[in-house]
Amino acid sequence: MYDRTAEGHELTFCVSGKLWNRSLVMVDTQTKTEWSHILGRGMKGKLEGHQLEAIPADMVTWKSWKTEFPETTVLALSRTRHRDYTNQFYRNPSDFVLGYRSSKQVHHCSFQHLMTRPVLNVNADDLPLVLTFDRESTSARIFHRKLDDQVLEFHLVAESVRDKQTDSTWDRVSGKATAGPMKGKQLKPHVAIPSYRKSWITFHPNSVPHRP
Amino acid sequence: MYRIQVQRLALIIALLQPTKVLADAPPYDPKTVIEQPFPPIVNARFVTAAKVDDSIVTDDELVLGVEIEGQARAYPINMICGPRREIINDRLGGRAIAATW
Repeated sequence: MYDRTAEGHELTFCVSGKLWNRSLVMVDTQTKTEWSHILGRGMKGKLEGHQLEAIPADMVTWKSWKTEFPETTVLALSRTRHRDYTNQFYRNPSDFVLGYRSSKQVHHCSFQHLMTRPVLNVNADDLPLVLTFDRESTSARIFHRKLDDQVLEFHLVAESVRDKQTDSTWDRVSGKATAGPMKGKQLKPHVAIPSYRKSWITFHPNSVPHRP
Repeated sequence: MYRIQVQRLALIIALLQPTKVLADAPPYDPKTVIEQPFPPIVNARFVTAAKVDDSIVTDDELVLGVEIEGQARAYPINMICGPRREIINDRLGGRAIAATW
């Protein structure tokens, strides 16, 4: 999910018909720049080198999304697939990683690990983050652990996400505290990129793997 | 429910350092599969959640979901697969966005 604004221009993107290491190359109608979809970056043309701003988004079941956002609208084009993409998407978790960026580097965490530790506190170059996974909805989210002036540390108590500092309860999909002293507070989301492992490593060969 | 606010966006932008992040990417050598780009998808049709039935998306099917300034939108994966559909140019919460797959 990207912001279409670049250097003050609003861009309109097309599928270019080109693939770069089997990854989608986009082209904008305004400048004809070629863009890498996976990197969000202009690769050739007038806006080469420009980085599109990624917007936090979630890949999640429809049931989970509409529960969280009852007023949501939904794209209504004709189907191109019949039930190929369901909550069984990660049935082979070793094929997938969750990618994220810090100021200096690119990181990834295997879904295999995330499924066994669905609430994972990390420090990405001193950026304290928490990775969360919800099996039912397949939501894989990342939030900042720094809230107001403190850095929270999260853990699972039974199936409930709590922070160790205040023992508040947090919704791992929305990042919102639902009970306890922090009730109503909202963790800031961080761009989380679920990706095929091979694809991620191809484009980010120096990505730092999360070590359990 | 999260809110995307300008200062958060500034932080996200600040977190991206293009030259460092890109220094290790493979060389840009795209292959042409189809000679001409596909036309862009703009002004696509949307419906409210109440109007969704199984022909659009079922409960266990995946969507790409985004919320901006209190407006939420879902893009069912089962209709953005395929070269003609992989980029949805859209506007949400006052921002111009592209949902890409």
